[in-house]
Amino acid sequence: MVQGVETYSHLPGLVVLIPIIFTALVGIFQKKSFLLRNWIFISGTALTFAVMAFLGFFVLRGETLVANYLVAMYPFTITFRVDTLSFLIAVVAAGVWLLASIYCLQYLKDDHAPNRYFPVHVFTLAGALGVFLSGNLYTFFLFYEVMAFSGYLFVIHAETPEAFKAGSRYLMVTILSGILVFTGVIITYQLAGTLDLGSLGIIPDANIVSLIAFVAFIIGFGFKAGLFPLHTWLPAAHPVAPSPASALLSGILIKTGAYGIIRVTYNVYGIEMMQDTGWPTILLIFAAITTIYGSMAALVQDNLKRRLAYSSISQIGYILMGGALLTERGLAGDIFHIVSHATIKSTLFLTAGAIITKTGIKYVSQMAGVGRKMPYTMGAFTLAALAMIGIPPLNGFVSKWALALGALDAGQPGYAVVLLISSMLNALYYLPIVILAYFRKPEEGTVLYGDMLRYDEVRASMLVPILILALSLVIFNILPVNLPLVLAEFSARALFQH
Amino acid sequence: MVNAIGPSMQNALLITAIFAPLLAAGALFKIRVFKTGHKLALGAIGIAIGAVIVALGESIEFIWEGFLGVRFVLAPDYMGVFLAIMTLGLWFFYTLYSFDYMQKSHNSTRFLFFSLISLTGTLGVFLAGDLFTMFVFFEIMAFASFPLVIHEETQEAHRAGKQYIYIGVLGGLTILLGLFLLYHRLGTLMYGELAGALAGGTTVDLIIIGGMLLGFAIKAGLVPVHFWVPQGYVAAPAPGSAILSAVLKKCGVFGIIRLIFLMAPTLTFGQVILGFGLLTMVLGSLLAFFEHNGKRILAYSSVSQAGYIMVGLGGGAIMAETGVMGGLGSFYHVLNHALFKGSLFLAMGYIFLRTKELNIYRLGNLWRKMPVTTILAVVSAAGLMGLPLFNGYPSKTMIHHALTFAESETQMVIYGYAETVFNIGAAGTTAYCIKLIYNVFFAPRETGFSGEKEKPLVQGIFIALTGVMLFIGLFPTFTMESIIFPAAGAFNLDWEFVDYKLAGYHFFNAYDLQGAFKIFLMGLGLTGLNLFLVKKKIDLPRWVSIEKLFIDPVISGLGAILGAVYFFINNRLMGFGGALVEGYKKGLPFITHLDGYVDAIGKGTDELFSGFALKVTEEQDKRKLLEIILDYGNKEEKESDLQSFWDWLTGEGVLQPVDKEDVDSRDFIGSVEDFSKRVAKMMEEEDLSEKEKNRLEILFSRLMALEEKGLSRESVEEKSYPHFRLVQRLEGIFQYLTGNIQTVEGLDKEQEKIGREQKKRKEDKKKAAADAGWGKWSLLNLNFDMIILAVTLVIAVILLVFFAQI
Repeated sequence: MVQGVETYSHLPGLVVLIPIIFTALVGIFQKKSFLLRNWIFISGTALTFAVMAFLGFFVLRGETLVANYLVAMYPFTITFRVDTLSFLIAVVAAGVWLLASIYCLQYLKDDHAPNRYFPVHVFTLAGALGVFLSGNLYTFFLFYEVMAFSGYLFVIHAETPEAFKAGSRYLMVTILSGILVFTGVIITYQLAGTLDLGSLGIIPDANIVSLIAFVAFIIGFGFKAGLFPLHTWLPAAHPVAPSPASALLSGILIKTGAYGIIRVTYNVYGIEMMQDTGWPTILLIFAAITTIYGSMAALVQDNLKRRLAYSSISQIGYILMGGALLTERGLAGDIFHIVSHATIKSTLFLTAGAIITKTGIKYVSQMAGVGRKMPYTMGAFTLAALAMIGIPPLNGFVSKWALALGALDAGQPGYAVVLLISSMLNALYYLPIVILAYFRKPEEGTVLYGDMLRYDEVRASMLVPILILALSLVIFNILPVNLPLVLAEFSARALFQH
Repeated sequence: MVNAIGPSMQNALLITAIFAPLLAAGALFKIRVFKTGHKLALGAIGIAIGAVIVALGESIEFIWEGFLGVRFVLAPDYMGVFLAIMTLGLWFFYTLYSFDYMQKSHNSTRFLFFSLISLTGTLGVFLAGDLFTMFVFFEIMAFASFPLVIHEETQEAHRAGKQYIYIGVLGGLTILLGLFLLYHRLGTLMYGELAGALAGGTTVDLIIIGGMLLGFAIKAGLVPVHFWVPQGYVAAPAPGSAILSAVLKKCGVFGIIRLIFLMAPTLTFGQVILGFGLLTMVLGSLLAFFEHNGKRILAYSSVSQAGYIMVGLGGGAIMAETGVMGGLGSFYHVLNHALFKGSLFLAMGYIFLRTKELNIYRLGNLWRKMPVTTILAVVSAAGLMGLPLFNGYPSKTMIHHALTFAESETQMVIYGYAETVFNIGAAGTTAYCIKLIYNVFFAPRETGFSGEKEKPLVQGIFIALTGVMLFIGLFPTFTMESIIFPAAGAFNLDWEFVDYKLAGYHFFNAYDLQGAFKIFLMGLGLTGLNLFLVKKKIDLPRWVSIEKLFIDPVISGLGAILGAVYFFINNRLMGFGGALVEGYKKGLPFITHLDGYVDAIGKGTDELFSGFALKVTEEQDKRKLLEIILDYGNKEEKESDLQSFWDWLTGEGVLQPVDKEDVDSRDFIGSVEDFSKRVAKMMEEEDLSEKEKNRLEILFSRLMALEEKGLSRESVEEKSYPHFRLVQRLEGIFQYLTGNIQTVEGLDKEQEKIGREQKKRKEDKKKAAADAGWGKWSLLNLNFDMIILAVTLVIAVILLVFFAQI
């Protein structure tokens, strides 16, 4: 695979446009018939995924797809640019989105306000893909805001007081994050005269202003990603959102922050300036704290989804650490972990949702016997939990290996130890759930949610997405070529080319 | 060895051998019928055996670049192949045996399923060609064997399981740390390129060695990380215990062999291993010597025997290339130990299956009823003791020689002392073997067991195992030359010296026989001592336990620190000192597992800590138990809360929370019913004053009534509070014994009041837990507005500076 051939193509624009069109279609037809709406809804996300996957043919040939559209704001153009990194993350996002869409048909069947939820679900996909495929910071910022604000409707979906509380917090964070990123963007434009993300470093020299822009970017994206101590919106928002939305929030949307930080570090500032100035060390330290803090906080949560949310914070620590190490292997680990965490965490949230719909159980301490009732769902959960701990041959292990070697390459063995400690903590808060669910019977006479020992799985339309995601944790690693890993390594190498 | 088939065929066969069990497991997932599944499992193991034997050859190497970002290599040497064949053979017998054992058990296909996956893991460990692949399979094995430990799903099994899994994860991570550093330095983990890689003695070397040694030592059950072994082996069903002891333990030993003889063959390292080996050996023997539970004796014996193996390895490593006695002897012992210890576990398991009894002092006279089991057990125990003509003798002799040889070659007195310690440990082994065999099979006691003889299938398995052991015992030199020599090719030994020293060695010479006889006599002496101790009812004090002395404080400390850090972060009002105190207070209840499940440190921590917290109670002396309870009732200073009473009871090792279904397991005091029945029985046997009798009678009648009531009064909240009812009952005992309640009505009322209070407390806690993270403790959320303010200020400053620049 060689890098560098740029091809002008409207396909990336199409990928972003499809969900927007389908949002309108869903909006129009949902009042007529919900069956029709479901078909449109699914075909919208499926079509997006299909076109996104089709882009793979170009990317694997080594082409970079570029498209420019001059819309209103001269001289800023809406630019899409699909290189390996964009492609890898966007295709995973579209895939997870498709599965979550299939899942949420059943999940939200009897829920209130479907006419709000379904269009928003499709529309947010446009925002997320726009962020991942953007070719300059202007486009990036536009779609970042679109995605963030439509995410608000995920958070408040339940319309309970807690949901509104979490929602207002989310909104504040979103606005702040937007302002900070915007600050970074205008300073960048002032200093570099361009917002293009195609080159490796556009800011000419390191001074106090560029440092300020860097800090603004880090804080802005840190809010979105859930970097300690900016993470507070995250454990509030995840549990109140519906499960498919939590899966997307945690699996994809917070990754936009991490993706933004990679782009800023490697494309805006460039690896050389970062290595010379050592600014990412700030990020590195906070990422390490995030990793340990997230795991420790997860340890004490009884609410299952809240535990998963804190676990996400911890994993974001892994991801940000990988980027901030400034080594090629570390960055490859970072990118690979964005992908693996997206799949692992969406599996976990979708299984949590399945358990909630079937049994109403929200607390870990009540989960005794769930494994007998829902063996396949819990099987997927177990696989994902093991992947999160980092047990070979699951994908979590591959990320851990790459990240740790990256840390050693950077001469920072302490961060490898942080990873191992976090793995131990992961084991401490994930394994009890598995053990409780499979190997314990509910206390006698405490029949709360029907017979816990009777086999009673969720419907296939919920189970199949979960199982596909769970299998993806294993399959890619035991194929002769580990495609996500190869792509991640390739993207990392591309960002290190001088 | 010349092989007729080509390398690609060999690779295919090797892959078949490793993954046949996994495929069978996959099929089991669909079949779910034990009988069919059992045949399938046996078939898969048979195929694997065939494949390994046919593929046997020098040049097998299967490499798959890029697997998990590194590579996947299968390149077994003869040692790996030998261990794989041993594993498969034993596994075949154990699976065959499990037909009888597991047939009536619950979840029997689940057992088979995970047993097959563990088998794949184990085979992978032995057949791997580099450390990375070995590690991958090692982790698979560690996780897949967890359901074997926890199979019975009793409280006891869960406790053992927790220790097993968490300590296993920890071991895996320390090995992984070593692998990171090693791979980063060398860029490869192939065995061939690792020779002597860690012999340099730099700090990084030591970290790598320490991490990997810890990980493998946990699996091998060496002191001081052996504490999971007795719990795990006892909790597992018999085929599971046999697998754990005979095979999975050897994965750890195998790792240590690779580490010492391949990567760091240094004198210091040999001495360290020797030291740990001696400690493990003596401590294991000592604990087995005092033990009453049959399976637990075997478990401690496994610990001790792992010590033998380590002594041999250490002794060998000290002598470097001329350490033939130690290296080969310990390797020989790996085989022998797998044979006799696995067989003993099978025999003990069979006895338990028929009599439901594990206490050796309540068994007896079984040789009439179970002749084949007796023969198997006696032959195995004779091997374990190292009697001439049985299979432990040659390997133990060689290990013994390793020590004497080290002494005579290096002229260092310390190895002489080591030899003395070795002899004492060996004498201890003899003593507990005699104790076990005599009490279980020959003691003139009536057990009330009137079962039929063994089934033909079981007889066949037992006779076959006996035959193999007798063969090795009778032809030790032949076995050594034809199996051990080629298999030990991985050791970095001077083979000419091996030929000179060991080829055609005659084990039954006067010197060695004399040594064995000496140890046997010492063992007889110790047996006498044991008889005396048993008669006088002298036991090891309860505090002699690595858990109480070392593990519990460490875990408590960690819990306190963890709690402190969490509170430090989440509590803005307290300084770190305050947080430390607070964290310690909050952390402690989880460690003692007594009250307040849902609390600040939370369930996750608790799930871990409870596993380490309580000493397993068993075989309490009857009178002692009664006295302890009555003593507390007569105490002058009556402590007023339940917590301290419970602490005190558990501290004495009297009580522990146990699931209801566990009442059958009589070594545990499970429900109040069971508890009452036992004490009631004691009352008949012991002399009690009238007052004492009255008190106890009223107490237990009330408790029984409460038990019935308790069932109907259960509420929804109680489900998240597993020991709630037991705690409630104990509160009753406590109140009664402290004399706060004199009448039956009073007890009743008090009980209801307590129930209400506890319910309320629990609800409050639940609410608090739901708010955790948002509650009043939370720094970050309380300060959210401040963060917003600060960030806004930062933005303002940024914009100001920016515009100033323009």
